[in-house]
Amino acid sequence: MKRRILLLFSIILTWVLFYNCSDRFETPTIEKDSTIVYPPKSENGIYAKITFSNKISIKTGKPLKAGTIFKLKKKTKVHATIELMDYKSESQKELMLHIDWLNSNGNSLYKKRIDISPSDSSSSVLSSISISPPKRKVGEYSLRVYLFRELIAEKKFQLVESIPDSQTVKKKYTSKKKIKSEKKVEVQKSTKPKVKKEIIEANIILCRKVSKKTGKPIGEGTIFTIKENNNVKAIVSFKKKNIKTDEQMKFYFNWIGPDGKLFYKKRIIYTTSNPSFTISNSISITPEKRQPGTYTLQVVFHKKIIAEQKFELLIPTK
Amino acid sequence: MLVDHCSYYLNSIWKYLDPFDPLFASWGQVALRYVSYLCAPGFLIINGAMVWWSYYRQKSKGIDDWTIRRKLIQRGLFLVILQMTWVNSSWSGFNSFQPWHLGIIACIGISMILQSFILNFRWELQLLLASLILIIHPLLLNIPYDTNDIWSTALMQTFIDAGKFNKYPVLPWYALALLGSVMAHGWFKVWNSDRKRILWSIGIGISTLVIATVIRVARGYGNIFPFSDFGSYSFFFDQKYPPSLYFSLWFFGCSVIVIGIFIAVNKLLPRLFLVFDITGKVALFFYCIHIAILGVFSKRIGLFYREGDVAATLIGVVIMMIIMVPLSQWFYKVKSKSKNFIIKMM
Repeated sequence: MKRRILLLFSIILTWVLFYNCSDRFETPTIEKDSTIVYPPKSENGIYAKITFSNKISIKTGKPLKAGTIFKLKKKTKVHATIELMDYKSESQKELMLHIDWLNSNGNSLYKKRIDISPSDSSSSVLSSISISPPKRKVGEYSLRVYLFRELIAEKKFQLVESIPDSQTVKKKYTSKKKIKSEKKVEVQKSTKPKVKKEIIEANIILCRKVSKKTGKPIGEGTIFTIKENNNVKAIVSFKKKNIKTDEQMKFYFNWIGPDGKLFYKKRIIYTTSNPSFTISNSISITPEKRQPGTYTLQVVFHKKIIAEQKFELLIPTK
Repeated sequence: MLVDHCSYYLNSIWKYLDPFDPLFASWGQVALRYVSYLCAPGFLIINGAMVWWSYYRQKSKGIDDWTIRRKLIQRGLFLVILQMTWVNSSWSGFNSFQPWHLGIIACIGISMILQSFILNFRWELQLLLASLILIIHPLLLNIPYDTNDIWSTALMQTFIDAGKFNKYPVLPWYALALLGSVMAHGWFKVWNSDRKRILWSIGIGISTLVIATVIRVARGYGNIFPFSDFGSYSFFFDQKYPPSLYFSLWFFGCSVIVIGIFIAVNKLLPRLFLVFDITGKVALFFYCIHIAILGVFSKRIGLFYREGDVAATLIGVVIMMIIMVPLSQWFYKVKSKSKNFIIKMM
């Protein structure tokens, strides 16, 4: 009898410990736009909607030409707009959101963690990946959104080849040759390893927004006006010598208020093989959220501040 | 441990699971990973307790302190070398030799060396030292260092922080070993009946869980990852590499409760843990060989390498137990007769 009670107790304990702790239902529902949603168990729980697009409207910040099939093309990106529904109900505490881009083999190719503070009123999050042909291949990719480490939404998209022509075939052939020769060089290098100190340089440009046409910053400066729908956008250009193939780097964008306290911290895990790359991050500067004063943005890499920029927020003069 | 290692080789979640920042798609996967979180704290606590037991057993035979210490230091160094040679290489199925990396075995080894110097301290002092280390450790995590600099990385990640060089920094885990030594004082000396051992273990375990819960609910010092609500997944999943104060206390509590339950179950069903008894007698051999088998067959040959999910992992566990139990039994017989230094150390 004692043994049976013990067994029953163990089963109940395991169930309570693991299954009952989940905030989500295991069975997903599929939305009209093909987002796979894992609904919250509580009525006030957050759920997410994912929209893929090639472009984002600078004016509204909303996705343009949404879809799930994209052509592999140079200097092209797939943007994911993740809209958090019922966000207000949970907005009293810091939210930990993870965005994970998976390739057709199910491997994670880019993961980003975003901590949303209660003072941040934005209910949508943007993330994008490059779909340039040497970086990405044809296949079914997916994006997963996790809230407090639990999967809350998932959506698939396809990358297809642009119509092949003789030129592209030729290019492919030469690029393959190039890759082979690069590999040879790599092999030669690996036989005699040299320990080099890696240096990363970062340069911060602050602006109001980025031009949709040219991609250049608009309203560049260090003084900004607190106003409805206004943002401060940081465009950080990085240069890293001796970058490895598909090197994964972790950066922190620390936004510090006039009181010297950190009010928004964004962690970005960036994977690239390019020695020069750019990462941007922005904060909203609406009157409800920000006070006038001197703010600071710090970019942290490997626990060291690699770039810092101060900026002023002012109340608009009447 | 075996569950987690089978998951690492057979479970497709490891294609994208980052152990430093884990994400989960189902409760089965959560359970699989969470069960293994008990492992490292359990290892260190039991090791700390065993070091205490070994010290006092030898002391009762009239062996002097420095001879006992020398033996413990020798064993600690053996564990560090074992990590850097066999263990590191076995993860890849001996595909590459990667000595410049530490892990749980090296962490146990270094903890053992450090513990050997304070074994004759009173249990109250050991408890104070362990508490101080656990309380101060979160502050030490703020020390900046250049991860491109080999020496500062090696130093920081050997003792304080976690990273590619070492996921198990010695300081917080050494504190758990010290707590194990404190518990050993009760288990082997003060509590003279199983009833007392069970009650005290569960009592101490629950008290520590309460302290850990208070720290977590406060969402302040001692926490690293934020959580959604009390009792949710994220509440239990604070950072493991390196462990937060909440993590260390929570899993110390859980481990001590599990030990208490093991003593109780062993009284009711003595044959139930026979399998664990066999493998537990040669735990280091079990650890070294099961990773090597999984590494060679799954990673190197590609047998079901990260193709399955929870079910595949559990099937893997059963198969590995079928292989490892007789192997462990055989090795135990060999070990009891052998005078070879390496075999005796295993």
